[in-house]
Amino acid sequence: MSRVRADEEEYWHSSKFRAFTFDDEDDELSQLKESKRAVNSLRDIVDDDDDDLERVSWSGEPVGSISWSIKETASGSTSSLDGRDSSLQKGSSSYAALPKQASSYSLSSLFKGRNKLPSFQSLSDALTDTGVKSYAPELRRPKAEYKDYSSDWSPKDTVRRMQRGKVCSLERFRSLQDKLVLLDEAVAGHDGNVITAVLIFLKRTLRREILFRELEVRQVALCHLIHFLREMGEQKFLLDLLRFLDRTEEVALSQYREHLNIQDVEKRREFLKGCIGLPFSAEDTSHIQDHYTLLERQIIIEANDRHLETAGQSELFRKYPRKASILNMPLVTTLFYSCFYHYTEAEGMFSSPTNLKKTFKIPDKQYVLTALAARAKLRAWGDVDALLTTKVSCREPCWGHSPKYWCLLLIAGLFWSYWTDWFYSSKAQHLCCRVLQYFAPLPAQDLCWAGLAAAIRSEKGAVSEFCYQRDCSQPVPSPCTKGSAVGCVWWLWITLLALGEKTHFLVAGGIVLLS
Amino acid sequence: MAAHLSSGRVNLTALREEHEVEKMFTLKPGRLPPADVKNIIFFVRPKLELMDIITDNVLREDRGRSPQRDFHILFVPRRSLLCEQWLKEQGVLGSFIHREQYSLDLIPFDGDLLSMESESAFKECYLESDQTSLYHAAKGLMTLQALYGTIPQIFGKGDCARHVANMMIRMKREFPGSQNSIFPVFDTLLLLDRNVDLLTPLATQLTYEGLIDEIYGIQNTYVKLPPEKFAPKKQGEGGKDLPTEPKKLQLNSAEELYAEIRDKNFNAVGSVLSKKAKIISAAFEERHHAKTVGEIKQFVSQLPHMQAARSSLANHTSIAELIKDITTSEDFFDNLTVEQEFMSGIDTDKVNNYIEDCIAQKHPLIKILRLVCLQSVCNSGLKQKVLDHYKREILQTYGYEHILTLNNLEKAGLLKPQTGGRNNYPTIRKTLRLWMDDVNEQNPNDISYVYSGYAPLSVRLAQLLARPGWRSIEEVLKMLPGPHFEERQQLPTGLQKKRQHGENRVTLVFFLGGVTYAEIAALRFLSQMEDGGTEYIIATTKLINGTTWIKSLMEKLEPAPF
Repeated sequence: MSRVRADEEEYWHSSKFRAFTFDDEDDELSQLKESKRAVNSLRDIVDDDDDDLERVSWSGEPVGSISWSIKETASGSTSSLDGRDSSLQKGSSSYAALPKQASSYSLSSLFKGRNKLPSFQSLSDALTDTGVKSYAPELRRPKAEYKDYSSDWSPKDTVRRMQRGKVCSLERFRSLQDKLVLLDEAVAGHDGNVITAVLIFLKRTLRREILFRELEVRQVALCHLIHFLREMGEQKFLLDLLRFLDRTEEVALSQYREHLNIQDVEKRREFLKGCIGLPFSAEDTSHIQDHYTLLERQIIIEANDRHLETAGQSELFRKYPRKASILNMPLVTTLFYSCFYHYTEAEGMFSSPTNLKKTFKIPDKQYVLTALAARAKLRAWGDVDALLTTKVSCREPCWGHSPKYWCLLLIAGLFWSYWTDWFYSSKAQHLCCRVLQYFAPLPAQDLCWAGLAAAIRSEKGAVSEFCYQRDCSQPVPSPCTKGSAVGCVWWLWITLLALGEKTHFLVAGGIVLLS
Repeated sequence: MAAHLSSGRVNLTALREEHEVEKMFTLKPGRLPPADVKNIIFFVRPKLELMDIITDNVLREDRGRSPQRDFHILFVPRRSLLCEQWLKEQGVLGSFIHREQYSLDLIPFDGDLLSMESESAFKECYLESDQTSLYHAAKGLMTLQALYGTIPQIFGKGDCARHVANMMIRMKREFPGSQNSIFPVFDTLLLLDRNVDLLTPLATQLTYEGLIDEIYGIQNTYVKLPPEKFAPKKQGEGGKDLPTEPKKLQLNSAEELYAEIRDKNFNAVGSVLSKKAKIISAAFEERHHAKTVGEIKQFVSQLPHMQAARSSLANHTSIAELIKDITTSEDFFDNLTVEQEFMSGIDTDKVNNYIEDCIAQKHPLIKILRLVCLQSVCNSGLKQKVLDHYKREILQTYGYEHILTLNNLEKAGLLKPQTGGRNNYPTIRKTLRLWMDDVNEQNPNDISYVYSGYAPLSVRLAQLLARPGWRSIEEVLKMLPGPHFEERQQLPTGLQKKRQHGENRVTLVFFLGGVTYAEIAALRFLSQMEDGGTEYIIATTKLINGTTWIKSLMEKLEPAPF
């Protein structure tokens, strides 16, 4: 900042415009800066037809002085004349002309409460910043232009002009009636940009209750305002509006969305706690409740485990250091984590898997799968044994199998696909046979297809191993046709082809054909 | 002058030459690259994310440098107040000396394809009720009419279609001078809402171009492919330095081979490629037969063309190999099987095992959402119990915050509980013949080849409009959302077309909310049908596939980086 200032100072003092001193009070300083800026940029755009900004005000006197003096004399005055093209050099008229706003709608005058970063503000900002209308020296303009700049455009014309990106002042729409007509016109034009412009104007000039009431019967405009508020992050105004409209579920979701912006977990937890009571739909309420409970648990687990890890006493953590913190992870990931690090803990502990399962009503299938994956990764084969013999509740009997077998089959399939990844990564080929044993309780024919297919996928060597162990030469009996047999055979066929395994292909193909 | 572009392919070559643009950069956060220029122009879509990048650029600009650089901003296609307000809040609005718009409504992508490339059009129309993109569509259509004549007939289906037609009529009334004396090129305009046919984009496209888009994503006619298959095979190098940069290829009809295979079902591409290979090698063999100098000269003159054909063939063979790796995978097959079951109406009313398994294995969330939405659409909404089950599984596995995304999908009508307990889809499917069992992928006789059995609903509507007319399907049209309508625009008598016998009618189909490559392929297929009698030109707000579409509806979960 100081450097900028020094530069400017240097420039300023070397220029002929010495009307200013830089010891003015703060509020004037910004204006002066702007005028300097205007001077700076003047030489670049002086031959530009579109931007009359500097040409207008530049009559040998610094721009700022005009606005400054006007501030003194004309404060509080309003004018509908701002934002006109004021090509002064073209002629003369008895009209007071204004510097053109850099923005084509004179909307900068509609916005309040912007950040004050003087060094980046433009002239138009500075002028409107002070809330003062500013005037360029009075000059006359031709009659033809006069018509174009006349202020009595109907709402329709105003909207049309705005659609074409032309300058328009909305300030002259004073009565509620006028404003609403203007809004309706904007909505009828379907140009969101114009609708937003009008809404910003209304938002600034109408009392909330009136604005809300009128918008309630104007759904399109309402949607635009909601979108605008959401994008600009005017959360409070938005919630007020939604509450007024009695759109309670939206209020709730909108408020819940806020948690994404909170980085600090403690604060996020507190925030989510506050969300629980919000009027969500019945189904969503339980999810939000779960979300809060989950984060609460995660904070406890994280604190505990970080301590364990840094202390270095737990062998598990030393052997398998944590890759990332568990905070903000999904439920299933948390379950995996707890199966991995806290499997044997008593149910009373927050970090124990069974506790998680109970608290969040995790379905059996999900639980067994996740636990299997975690325990197998640790090569805790005893746990895997136990898990595979757990009774799993299943939705319905499938494909003529009893639910129990079907689930096992399903688990086998999923288990294999998990396992394959680790197999490749760890290159622990000897484990292959070990895992194959788990499929012993399955009926031979199912096992053949499910297991064999999976085995081929994982490792060619495993296939032969597997074929030795199990008698796969038995023809598949007819009951298990749909799905398991045919599906797997088809799969097998493709896989074998892909692997180019001619021998196995023939063997397996032979069996298939027999069945 | 230096121009900074947001993603998009605005052709600035002309601008560059006329105004001595020094350099062009793509927009990215951080300090602007040094360039000894006075003016810097940002060409951007009016999007808040991009505004943040620009803010960053501007704030990091070295104020002390001399000469100071001036900033200008050009919004494409329209200035956005929201963006300007945003820039103002960041305190940089004043840094821009010019803020203007570059009204680029419809961008030509190919000889028969125009797109507005407005990604968020669907989201804006159906989630936020913001019809600005429709306004632009109407403006684009007005421009098109100014260039190619007034379109005498307008048909439409859906709320957005109705809005666009209304706006067009209004614009015409407001600018009476727009009545032009150009002989009309288009006979009919068909406006279609994407939400009339939510099903089609969710299914996996099975045409060559569609699959490239599904797997690698086509961006503004360019695709980036993994480089391994494109490594130049030279002896002695032994694959030492494999290229690591993705291979970038442009895909459009200017490439003869691509024009031929792009719209074919992928299963029919292989045979075309091998046939081409034979022809090309035969052509190269010709050189042995060239005896006289004249013959050799003729051969040499053909060489450039032959070499271009050969490299094009090599490229597409490599792409086809890449795609084949995916389409022959087990998972692709399973996924497709489930999709096809849903589309043919099998087991749409219960929890699907495959979807459950995918969730359990944590497949990408978008894949899950595509399938669940597909099931919901094919069942006119899911039973509450089934919907709750899916929701729970998704939230538990992928995180509770996705409740916001699920909510958006519900609002867009993609994922919803069945109301009234009635499933209209079977009626619609049967009446419009959306599912064809005997599909011929090699020599198709029906548009259903683009999805290997499923005929895209949107294109079926276009087909039935041409013949025998929508009157025959009134009942079904009533089941689909939104009104259907017909408008006529009067032409001066001199401009009314007297149709020659056998001359094709030209229909412009405008997809409001996006169109897939497979749908385009289906329309091109209809154009080429010998007895079709109608040629189609396609316009849309955005080229989409299921993944990009669902993504546009998902809640942004990461907070902005600034």
